[in-house]
Amino acid sequence: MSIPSSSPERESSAGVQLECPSSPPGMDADPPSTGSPVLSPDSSSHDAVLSAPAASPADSENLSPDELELLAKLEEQNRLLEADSKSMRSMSGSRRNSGSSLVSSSSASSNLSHFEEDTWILWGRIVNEWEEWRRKKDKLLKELIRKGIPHHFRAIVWQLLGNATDMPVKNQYSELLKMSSPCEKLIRRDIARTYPEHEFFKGQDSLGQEVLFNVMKAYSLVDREVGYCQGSAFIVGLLLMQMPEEEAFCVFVRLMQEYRLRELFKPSMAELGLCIYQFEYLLQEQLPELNIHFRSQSFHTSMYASSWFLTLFLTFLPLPVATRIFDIFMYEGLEIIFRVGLAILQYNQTDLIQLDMEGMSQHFQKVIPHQFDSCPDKLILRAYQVKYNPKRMKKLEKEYTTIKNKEMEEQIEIKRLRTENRLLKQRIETLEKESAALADRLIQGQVTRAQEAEENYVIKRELAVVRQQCNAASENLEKAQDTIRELQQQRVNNCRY
Amino acid sequence: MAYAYLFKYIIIGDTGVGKSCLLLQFTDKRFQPVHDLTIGVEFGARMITIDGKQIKLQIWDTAGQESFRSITRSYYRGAAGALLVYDITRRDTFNHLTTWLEDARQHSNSNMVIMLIGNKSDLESRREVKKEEGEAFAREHGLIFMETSAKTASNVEEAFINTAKEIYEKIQEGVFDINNEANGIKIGPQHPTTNSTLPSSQGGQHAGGGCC
Repeated sequence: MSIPSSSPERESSAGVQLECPSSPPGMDADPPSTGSPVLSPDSSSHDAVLSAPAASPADSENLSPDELELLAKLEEQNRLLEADSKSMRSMSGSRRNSGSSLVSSSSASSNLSHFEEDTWILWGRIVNEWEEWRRKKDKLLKELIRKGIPHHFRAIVWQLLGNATDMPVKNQYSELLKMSSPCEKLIRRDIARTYPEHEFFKGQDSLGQEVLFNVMKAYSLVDREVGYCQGSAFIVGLLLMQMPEEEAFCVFVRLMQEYRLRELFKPSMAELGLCIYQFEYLLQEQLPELNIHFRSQSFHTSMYASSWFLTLFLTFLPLPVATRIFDIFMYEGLEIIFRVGLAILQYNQTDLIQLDMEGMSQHFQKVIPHQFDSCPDKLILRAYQVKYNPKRMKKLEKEYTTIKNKEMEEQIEIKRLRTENRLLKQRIETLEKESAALADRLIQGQVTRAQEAEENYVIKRELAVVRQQCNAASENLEKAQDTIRELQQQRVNNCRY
Repeated sequence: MAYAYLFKYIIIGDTGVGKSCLLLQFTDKRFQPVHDLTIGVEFGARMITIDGKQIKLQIWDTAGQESFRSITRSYYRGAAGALLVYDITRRDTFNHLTTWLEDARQHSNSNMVIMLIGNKSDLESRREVKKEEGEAFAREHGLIFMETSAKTASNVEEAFINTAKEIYEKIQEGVFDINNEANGIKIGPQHPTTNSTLPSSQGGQHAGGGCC
């Protein structure tokens, strides 16, 4: 399948003539040039028509009689299939055991092949008149996508939806492959771990692994900030199951740029935090009991929902189901991931509430992924019953940004305070040292003073003794002088006589 | 099944060192040469016996790429044990241990027991990190150390169990506040409710266990 060089730009009025498969099922068109395998079993073409709301009257007015007839047929098939699946379910008595194909045992099988043919014709027309459909019948197109894009149209429709049919970067692709990327080693390590069970990617030298490596490497070179982030290879892998590597590369570039994926896969993964925050709000609002149970069990949202957002359910649900969700993602963006996630929780609420943390983890790993194997439409239908208010989500985004900014400011403040704290601690340390030195000197002084006081005391005592001796001596002296005086008096007296 | 204690673990380390394979070998006793890439976190659980007591291990296996740190960080809190894994055939995974350890120490409770694991010991011919280097790193940072092979199952049981033994000893010593679940330890439903002071183990309980 090739894309013509004329681009489906908005201004092009002629509509794009796209080469697309027009053969009925069974006479399949050639697979993409890389030889991508066919998803099997692909459910989209079989049970593509469980009830979904009919196109609104406003849409119907724009439709040609042919299209109205087809729509009526779709509704009729819907009814048949629903009745059929109901009887199947009552027969098997288990919702998880309702068989792989509704079609084979269906009384409506003959009608279905007609129906398939009609679907092919319709999608052929959609692809050929893409611009017109986008302009005039967008709502109907949305409904049809929700019912599943037929497998053989996926490659082209995904490219058209992603506006990736005519990207300049495509011309760089072969050049990029010749360059070397700093992420090469990391990518190489993950390639074998991406869809290891899938036929296309099995085996070390398989074509699947080679083209997957090429696209991941090429992307890491055009977006150095993201480079390569684990998880993204599952999305590219899905694209490669449908289309050649250059085309897959272009669609992936668009998904990263326009579908919030780049934000999700940036090194900080900040957007994932936001998605989890928004999802938690929906959970709290619409399944409050379950939310309380999760909290009481410390079962964090990120435990199960991180991979839902990062790989768009591709690592959680079987491929046929996840591919149906991806169809819708290509048209409506991340909203469908929120819707499906909440629908899954709602569907399992009664089971989960009775389980502890371990039980819930097991339930998420083993039970939930296969609940919708035979009826992806049921999941999608439930997803659209989930209340999702884009305005509210925008508001939550603002809230989250405010919280995060505040956290960041706080982090900066904490960092600043830590530094200040550290400096103050240093100051305390030096002051303490100074204080210790002073205390030392003080003590030294006191000791000296005590010693001096003692010396003083000793000297005073000595002084007292000396004084006493001195007094005694003066007394003696006085006595002696008295004696001398007496003796002199006697001598004078003696001489007179 | 009733248990005396529940310990929560986290497995960390660079991408591709074999974290998920170690967990699978421990919980399911099998080796999957090409394991699915871990996106975010995965969960596993198993019962073990220490000192005649049933102990349940709840293990969180994390994605290794740097970008996922913001998610995996929140799992440190509430973990009693961490297995820090590197690949003995890739020097860079050993060189990154310091960053991992800083991250773990910063975000976990200070008593968390950390076991350093050099995985892929079966690939002797491609060895880039000597066993002595692992031992030296562990000694320097106060970790327990072991080389394992998720492929041959060599030392895998011991790695998980010895970590549990260390935690169990810390409980006996009264280091862990077992009434605070944020420490990653929970008393089992049938366990007599005690205060944080536990009856000291009545002999028999051998320190460290007899491994390596």
